[in-house]
Amino acid sequence: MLSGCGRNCNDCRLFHTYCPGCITRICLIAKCKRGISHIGITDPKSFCRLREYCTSPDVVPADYMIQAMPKLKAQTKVKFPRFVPVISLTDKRSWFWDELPLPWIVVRLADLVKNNALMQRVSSCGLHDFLGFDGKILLSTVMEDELLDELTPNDYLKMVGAIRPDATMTPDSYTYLDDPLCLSWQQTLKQAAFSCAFSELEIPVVGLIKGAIGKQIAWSTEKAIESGCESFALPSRELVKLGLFDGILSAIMSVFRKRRKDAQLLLYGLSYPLRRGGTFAYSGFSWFIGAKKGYYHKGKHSFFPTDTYVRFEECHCAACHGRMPTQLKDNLRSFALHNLLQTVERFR
Amino acid sequence: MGEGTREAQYKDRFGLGTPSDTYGTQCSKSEPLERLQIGDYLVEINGCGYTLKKGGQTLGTYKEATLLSPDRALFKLEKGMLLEVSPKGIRNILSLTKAGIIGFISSDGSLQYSTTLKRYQIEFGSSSDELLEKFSEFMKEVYGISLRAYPKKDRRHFIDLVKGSKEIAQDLDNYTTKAKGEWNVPFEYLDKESATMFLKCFMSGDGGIGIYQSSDHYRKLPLRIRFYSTNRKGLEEIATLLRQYFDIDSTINREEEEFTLNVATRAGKIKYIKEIGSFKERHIRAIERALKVIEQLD
Repeated sequence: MLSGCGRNCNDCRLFHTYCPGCITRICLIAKCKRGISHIGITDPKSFCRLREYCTSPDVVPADYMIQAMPKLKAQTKVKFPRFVPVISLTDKRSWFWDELPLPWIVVRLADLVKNNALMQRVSSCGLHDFLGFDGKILLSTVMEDELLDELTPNDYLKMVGAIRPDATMTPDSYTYLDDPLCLSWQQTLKQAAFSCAFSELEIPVVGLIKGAIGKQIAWSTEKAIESGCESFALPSRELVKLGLFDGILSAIMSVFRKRRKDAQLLLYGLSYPLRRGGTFAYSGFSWFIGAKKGYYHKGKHSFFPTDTYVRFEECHCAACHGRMPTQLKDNLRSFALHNLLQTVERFR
Repeated sequence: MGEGTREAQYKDRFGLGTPSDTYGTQCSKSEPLERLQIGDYLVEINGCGYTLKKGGQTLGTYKEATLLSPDRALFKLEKGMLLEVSPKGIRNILSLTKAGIIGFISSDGSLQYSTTLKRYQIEFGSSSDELLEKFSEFMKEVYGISLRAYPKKDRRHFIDLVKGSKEIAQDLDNYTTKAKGEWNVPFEYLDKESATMFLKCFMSGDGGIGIYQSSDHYRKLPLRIRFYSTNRKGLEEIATLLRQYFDIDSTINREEEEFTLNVATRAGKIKYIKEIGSFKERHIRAIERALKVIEQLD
């Protein structure tokens, strides 16, 4: 089978067993061959980011072997509340544990990778002391692609050991729909290989599920289950935006059913409920990003404070104390707390 | 990260990813012809584009640069945005045309962006043909669209230029608070050139440049430069902008229903008409007359 980019899928050991072959016409390399390039990615051609996947005869690099996953030391099931807020380590205005009882929060490893000074400060005292938070902390490994390329499994272990969260996700990878499948397979295999190192950790590990197509998602889920993960996370924001969420979710749920796994799935990057029931937990930062952009949450919707729907309405939540939205405009902390309370309320 | 599509990711993060027709173009890898160091950043210049690197890591690939010097480089992004690279770091700034659009919208325009009411509309109304033409030209350049013109029946020669587009309204909403009620100055997206264009367009809509005939003042400089608005906070931001980039002092007074910002000193007024100005015919004529008076006085 010849894929859109001209590569022969028959040469690939993943073809048939794991992969349906390059069937997507939106693949950036296949599009480039048809004369449509994308500025900054495949155009100008002399800087093309995907060149190595275009010219290399290898389909999937041989050094990424599909290996048996080692068992995790701590095979503990984490029970997340329905909504777990993400906070920023660099912005204290997103810290609300004194005002609101929060059993779990999510902190982003990316905040620390990007800021060496902060990393040193947090390493010296641990996340709990740094934040002054005595609930549970989940470490999110979701970060920008260029940061992911720089990290090795040892880096992850060192950082997790130094900052001491209560649970961590397995490493992230980038699996874009419009990349050639060999690249997303390479990333999925790399993620599984990196996750092996997490078996040494003494804290619960949440399996991060990644993949561009159903088969990759299913493979990634299988590997996470094989390693002994009892909780799982799925970065969902972009999938919902592109209308791909249902397909991806059914691939995961069918693996859960097949393996008779009754696990909770954390939908990372979503701050509104998509499904009923306790199978799903949600985690997001939009309550704070929205507040920074001036969006006022009310029920399922968000409004500008000057919108006539909410403008003259007094809110009696713990943040507003009877104030109107326009009176919160210049107080980001109250604004953000109001949004957080509304978001938590959505999940009741 | 890395779910969804790479194209969407590049659009969100770098303002890149627009499709371009490269049919028949040869795929060749060439070594960079030239390298330019700007602080920690390295720009590699190739025959057909620029790569921006920091510490060996590629941050972006750009087709066009509008300025390239050892102190500062500007790379063209989508929708009238520029990436500014300087020893201090990188940031997105508004191009001249986009700063102009926001200036016009802040003064005599309106922006509706409401996901709950599903209203997405950009509007600019004026009775001056030159301003209508300028706004159309800027919108065409940034978004590649033409605007519909609606004459207002109850006002003589007043035309509303209107475009309903979610994509454009959403994009503009990132840089101005006009849709939320009151306009603001998008400080973090301005450099001196775009600040000039923002002020020039705002002055064209909601400003006044006029020569007054009072004999007492004639010997000093019979020029009045004012900005009008009901938004005092916005005018205070304009005062900050004038001071920050042009060293021009100003005062804000309340006049009945609205506030007025007056350029205060003679030096400030001369600087304003020489460096900023306006697109409005009437203002341009006043500036020409004022420059003649300044010549005579000097």
